[in-house]
Amino acid sequence: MIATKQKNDKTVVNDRARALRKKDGFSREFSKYKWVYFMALPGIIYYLVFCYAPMFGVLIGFQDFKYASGITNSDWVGLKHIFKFIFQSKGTAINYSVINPDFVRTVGNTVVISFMNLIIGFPAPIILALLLNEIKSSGYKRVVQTITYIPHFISTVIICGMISRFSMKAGLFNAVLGWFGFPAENLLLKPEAFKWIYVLSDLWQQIGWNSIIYLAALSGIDPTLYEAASIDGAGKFRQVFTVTLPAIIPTIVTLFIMRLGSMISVGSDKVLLLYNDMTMETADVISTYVYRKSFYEGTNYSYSTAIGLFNSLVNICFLTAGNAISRKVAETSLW
Amino acid sequence: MKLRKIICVAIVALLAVSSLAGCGGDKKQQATGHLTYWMGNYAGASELDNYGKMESVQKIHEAVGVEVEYVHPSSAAWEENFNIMIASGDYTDMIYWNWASKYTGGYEGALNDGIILDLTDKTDKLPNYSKILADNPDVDKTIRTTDGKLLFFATVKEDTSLNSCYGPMIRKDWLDKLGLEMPTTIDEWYTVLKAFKTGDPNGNGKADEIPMAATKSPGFKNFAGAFGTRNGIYVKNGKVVYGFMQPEYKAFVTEMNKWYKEGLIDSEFAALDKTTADAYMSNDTSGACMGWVGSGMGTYLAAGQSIPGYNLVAAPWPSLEKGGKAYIPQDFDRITSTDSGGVITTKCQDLDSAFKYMDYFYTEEATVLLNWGIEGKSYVVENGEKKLTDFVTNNPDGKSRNQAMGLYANTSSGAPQKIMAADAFAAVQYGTPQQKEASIVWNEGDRSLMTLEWPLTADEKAKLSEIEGAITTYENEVFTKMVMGTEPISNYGKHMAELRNRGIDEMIAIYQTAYDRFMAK
Repeated sequence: MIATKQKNDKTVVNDRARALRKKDGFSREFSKYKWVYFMALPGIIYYLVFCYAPMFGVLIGFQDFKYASGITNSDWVGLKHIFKFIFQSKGTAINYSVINPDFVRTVGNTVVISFMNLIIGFPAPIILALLLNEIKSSGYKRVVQTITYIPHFISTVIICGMISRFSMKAGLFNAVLGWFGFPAENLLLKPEAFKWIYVLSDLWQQIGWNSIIYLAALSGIDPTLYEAASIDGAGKFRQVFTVTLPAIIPTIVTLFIMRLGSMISVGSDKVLLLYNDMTMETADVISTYVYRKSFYEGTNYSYSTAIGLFNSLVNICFLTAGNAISRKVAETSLW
Repeated sequence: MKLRKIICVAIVALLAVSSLAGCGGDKKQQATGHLTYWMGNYAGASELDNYGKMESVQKIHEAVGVEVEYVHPSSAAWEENFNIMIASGDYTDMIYWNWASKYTGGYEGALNDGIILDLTDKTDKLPNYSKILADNPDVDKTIRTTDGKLLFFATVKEDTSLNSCYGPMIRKDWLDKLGLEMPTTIDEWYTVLKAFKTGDPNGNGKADEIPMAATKSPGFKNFAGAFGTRNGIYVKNGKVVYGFMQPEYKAFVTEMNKWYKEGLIDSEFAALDKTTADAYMSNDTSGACMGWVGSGMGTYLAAGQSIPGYNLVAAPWPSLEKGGKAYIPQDFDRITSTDSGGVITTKCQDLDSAFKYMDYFYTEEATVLLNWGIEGKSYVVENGEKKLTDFVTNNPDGKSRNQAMGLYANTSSGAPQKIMAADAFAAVQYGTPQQKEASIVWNEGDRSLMTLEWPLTADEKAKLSEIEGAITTYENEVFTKMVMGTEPISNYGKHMAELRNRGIDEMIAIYQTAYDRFMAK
């Protein structure tokens, strides 16, 4: 998946093999590897049936969809639903001169939460992995690892139940904050606190799990590199920067780009479980807005589909841009 | 080699065919006297895995001579299941569903989409249903479409006197302890709550009382009634108005803000679910709330038994001034609900059986069966009066009244269609004297804020579904913020303007048209 531009012997060999293959054609390769291709078949069918076929469903974003008429018979309305999201709608009419305040609010919150999640949630597992890597006692290391990744397996509903109990006036968080002289308040009623609660609880829940992939990358580093570095007089800290980090840079960059692909999406479930009237202004994100529009404020499936599609398009832009930049700067890219 | 290929292809083809067969080959046979009826939740679902297993329903099948197979979706996925069934084009002979809000365009939409059958000119085949509608003209007006079509079988309440099941409740023992009278006005409520806050009625020596418990969908919103307004749409002097847009509503919000500021309402209410409020009401922390007679008062009375003297009673709907009008701010005892109803679908082959079956639900025998269950098992007749058996009121297996009753009858729920019997409902729901009294206390008040459901056209419904949600979401948000004081009440006009921006005038106009049309009938 990762294409490095460095030319070495291996790629030369690969190039020659590719040239050879080209000459003999695809059919020859197919007959040679037909069992390998055959084994790929279930995966290909899975993607066709469950990922590509349902994509035609986005068509309802351009229709006034009705269940009984289906996709084939519902009326086409073009971009109406996307305009309705971006511009203020007064009743059933769209006022193109005013931007929809909900649009500004939900997109703004989504971007800010994603960005905070990226800044805080992305480097943390790398740091944890680096620290774990330095632990010599394997028993202690295993205990720390297990403790940090267990929260990943707790369901969001339970996590949110815990958060809302802990955030109460008489809850755990206020007890701790009380030691530092803060007055007791229900933290989930404070609009300015919502994003921090969201991002920090996400960090707590995912840090251990996300560090696993880095630990795997770290274990692949040739130990002789460290020996050489220490003979050259590099201390522990120096070794991290000159040996460890460069070795896992491809992993970091790849994960970073993939993360950019979900830059403008904040999952609805956790926000839905935690927000309330008081924190709507800082907590309402695109996905919760879509949820309310399709299930709570009526059954407007077309509208929600159009917003979801809009969301995905923005995400693809981020992904493509991130990939292009990384190809230039870090010489590593997804494609 | 060749043979192996052929075998491979044959196996693949076989698998493909069999999987296809699994998808589409499920055509129901339409033998006479066998019908299918799709229905979501039903009373007794915790006890019986199929509505058809209820003894009273089996008696009905015997009486009509029709075998009906009830089809239930897996719980919690009703809507998905319903939508898939409709989209597949293969649905049951009858369907009970919330058509009004969970189907685009409501009943009329379903009729235009060719899913349900028009019953308007079939009334000669529905003698019992026709009679009920003729006897209750308000019901008839409510459930017919704007152009007079009859599309569904509704649940009818002929007697609503015992159905007031929501209202303010207060700890009588706390009132007595502090030497206070039962509050009847907003000012008296203020005094009482203030005394709860400062007078240490739970007697633990600490001022830890939270006078009024509330949740994120706050019950105290119904105090609006005292100010002569209510939440949402109602009629004022023949004009349809919206609560939030009225000056009375601003006065109400101002008062609630005052209560909140002085700590009379739980300061955390906007973040709380029912669990916390329930706990406060039954553990000597809170002394008042708005709630339901069963899930609220019934639960608290049972849970509060450990507290000596615990006595929770209904408080009357308050008025603004002594002797002033006390309005009932909610439509808790509507004569019928048009949201959900039973329909006969266009897929039904045996229409005569379906008419006979659906119509039978409106006979006197069916009403007794569905509300009271089986004589000798769930009820007995003493001196001409029906009484619940010991099996229901004091179940040997520790089941609640509702659970035990659910084995025999569908007393508490209007699904599917039937006539609700108030006496049976009261007998099952009101297990304590406080609850019985509550249904009488809350039934008193001015009913002019209450609305009937005015029939809407499919087009009006589609428009409302676009506007209404956005309005209520915004309104709820600013209401909570103004009560909690993070949004100054001086901005009230600004929020009214924003609601206008979001199309509240169009929404009110739609309801006005519907109301005028309803009154002209």
